[in-house]
Amino acid sequence: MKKLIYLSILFLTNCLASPESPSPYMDSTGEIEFQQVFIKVSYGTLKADNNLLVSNIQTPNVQIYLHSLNANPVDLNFLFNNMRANYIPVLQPARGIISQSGNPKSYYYFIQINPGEELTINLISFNATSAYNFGVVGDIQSNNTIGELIAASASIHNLDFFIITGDYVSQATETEYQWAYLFSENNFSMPVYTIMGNHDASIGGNGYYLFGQYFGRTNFEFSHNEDLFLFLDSSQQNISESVYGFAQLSLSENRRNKFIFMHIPPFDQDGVRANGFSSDFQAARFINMVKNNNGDIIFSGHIHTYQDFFVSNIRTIVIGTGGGLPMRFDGVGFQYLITHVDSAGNASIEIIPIAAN
Amino acid sequence: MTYLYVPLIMQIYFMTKKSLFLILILYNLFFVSNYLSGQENLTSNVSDSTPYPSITGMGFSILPGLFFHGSGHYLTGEKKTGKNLFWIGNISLLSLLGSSVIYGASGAASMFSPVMIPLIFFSASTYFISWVADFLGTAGISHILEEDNPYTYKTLKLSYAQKNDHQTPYKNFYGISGQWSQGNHFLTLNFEQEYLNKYQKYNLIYGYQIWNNKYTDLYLIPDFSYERSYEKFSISRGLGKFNFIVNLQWIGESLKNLYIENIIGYGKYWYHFNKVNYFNDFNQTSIFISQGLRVSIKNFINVGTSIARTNSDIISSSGFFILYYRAYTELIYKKILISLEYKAGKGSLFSISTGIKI
Repeated sequence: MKKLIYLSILFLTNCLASPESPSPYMDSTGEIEFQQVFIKVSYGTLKADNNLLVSNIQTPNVQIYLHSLNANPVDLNFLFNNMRANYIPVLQPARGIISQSGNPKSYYYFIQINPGEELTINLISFNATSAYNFGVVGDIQSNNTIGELIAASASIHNLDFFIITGDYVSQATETEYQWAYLFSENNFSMPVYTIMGNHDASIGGNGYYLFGQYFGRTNFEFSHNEDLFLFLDSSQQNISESVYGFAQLSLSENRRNKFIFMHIPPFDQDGVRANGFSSDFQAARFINMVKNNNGDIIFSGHIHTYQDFFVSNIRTIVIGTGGGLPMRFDGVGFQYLITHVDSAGNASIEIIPIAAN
Repeated sequence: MTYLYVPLIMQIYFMTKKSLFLILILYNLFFVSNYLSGQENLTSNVSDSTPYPSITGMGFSILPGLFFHGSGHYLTGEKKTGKNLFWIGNISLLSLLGSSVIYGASGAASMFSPVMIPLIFFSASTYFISWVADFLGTAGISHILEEDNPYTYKTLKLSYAQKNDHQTPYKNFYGISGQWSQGNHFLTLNFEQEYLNKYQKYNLIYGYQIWNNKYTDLYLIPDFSYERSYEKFSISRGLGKFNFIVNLQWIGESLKNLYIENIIGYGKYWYHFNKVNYFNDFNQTSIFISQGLRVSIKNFINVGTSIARTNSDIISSSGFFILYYRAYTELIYKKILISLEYKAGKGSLFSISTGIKI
């Protein structure tokens, strides 16, 4: 009996650690029933603010589905934030469009929906120019000072859009998420697309809930000028089976360039520190899948330095230099990067140092 | 994970309280004064007759032992063992805090990683073990333990493992492994196959005992593995590992034949994608670190537990210090051997194996 007790103590002590789940595949939080009208916004959030339906858009390609269960016609007023210029709203079934106004990133719509009517609005907001550029940085971590400098610089460079590769906030609290949301709205003159980082996910709060409330989906994609932009949640140092499947499906599409954005890179260039995926088998499997589907560049953050290296023929860029405590002794300070894509689809990377260095 | 940090966090928490911090200082000064006056030393001369098992000792090892490691032994008369555990715990804690602060302040600088990561790992783990050892010692565990060294076994085993990592379609693994030993050498061969033929792993481990004395062993262990997935990629790994094994009898008689194993390995990983370029697709220098406890109960049951930092396991390790936990128990009856193993990280693995021990 004593033996069994000793055995149990030793064995159970080690079984106390419960297995963690990987990053969940978050569905859209942009669903609401307003005056007996069911409204769903794919790739964005949706909230009712008195009589105004306010949505934050996670991608330039948005679909809004409406279904009225009301016995009477209902007036709906929408405000869409984080929108690209030169959008094209298309309604199905076809009908006249509504009114619109607002600043370069926010658009107001009015629509009246009839009893029993079903409507789909597609907002396709990328423009038709062939050459374009976008900015990328990760790990701002609620550093307002560096964030402001990056946003100001991005405005000067007239970027089409900006991508935050996670860890926008330092702690996943309502206050910090509110700051991040308003910072994107007020400081960046172009749309900002945000992915989930480990700080956004869980440090000091309920990150997944808040991310859903303020930004929407954690895994999504859009097309821009024939190029694929794929955003994946790797905030738990891996990606789940469902996210892997989503990535595989997206990457199998025929596109000119395939850009992938995730917070934690599959591999850290420093193999001893190994701050990439927590299983190199999973990392290799992911890279192999990207390679099989002709992926081009993986942009990430998490590591507070700049790394630019190839894993096989997949270019891996780490740009976690947006404001978090910088890594020492690497000669890299606060900076972000601009990806220039020319009319032929060739991508080049330009590093923009921040003066605070 | 929680059990590792609870005592540490609690001690740090209490250190922030003025009154309790004073007690901690006085407690430390008391030990220092005894040590400096020559009344006590850090090596144990405890006789075979220990007063354990002791319910009181076990109680003291929990409280105040959670904060003052070694309390269980110290307050029940085994003062030297208690003090040794106390010092091991506190030096580990100091080392953990110091190395964490330095590495954190450097922003996890690459140039510090090869030294700081093992230092943080071993500090935290040793801190925890100094507490566990106090509890196990006062529980009288030494009375049922035997001297043992699994590297001297000759075994042949068949295994089945079920894994859930929430990420891959690899779920069921079948394996065969064999170990041969002679003198200071041992050789282990492992083969593992995933049920749906999607994955295979070959592993060759050679070990040589380069140092041995009464309480310690040091093994040099070159470890080579080749993993291939039928999704058309493979990983080859070569690591040079050292395993420093300590019989905790070195600390006190009540811990006789409680072994602590400290493994550190550096090496290279090679990745080959899509079977286009077999060589030099991508490679990285890497590190493996592990620490654990192992016992043999009357040469009938072997029980082991360890915590490891590595990204080279198919079970994704957990947390941002990429750790996973392993616990196993092995029953040996005559020449028949049955083992159960459990691993937990972001997923978990449970395996059962059976075979013969020659």
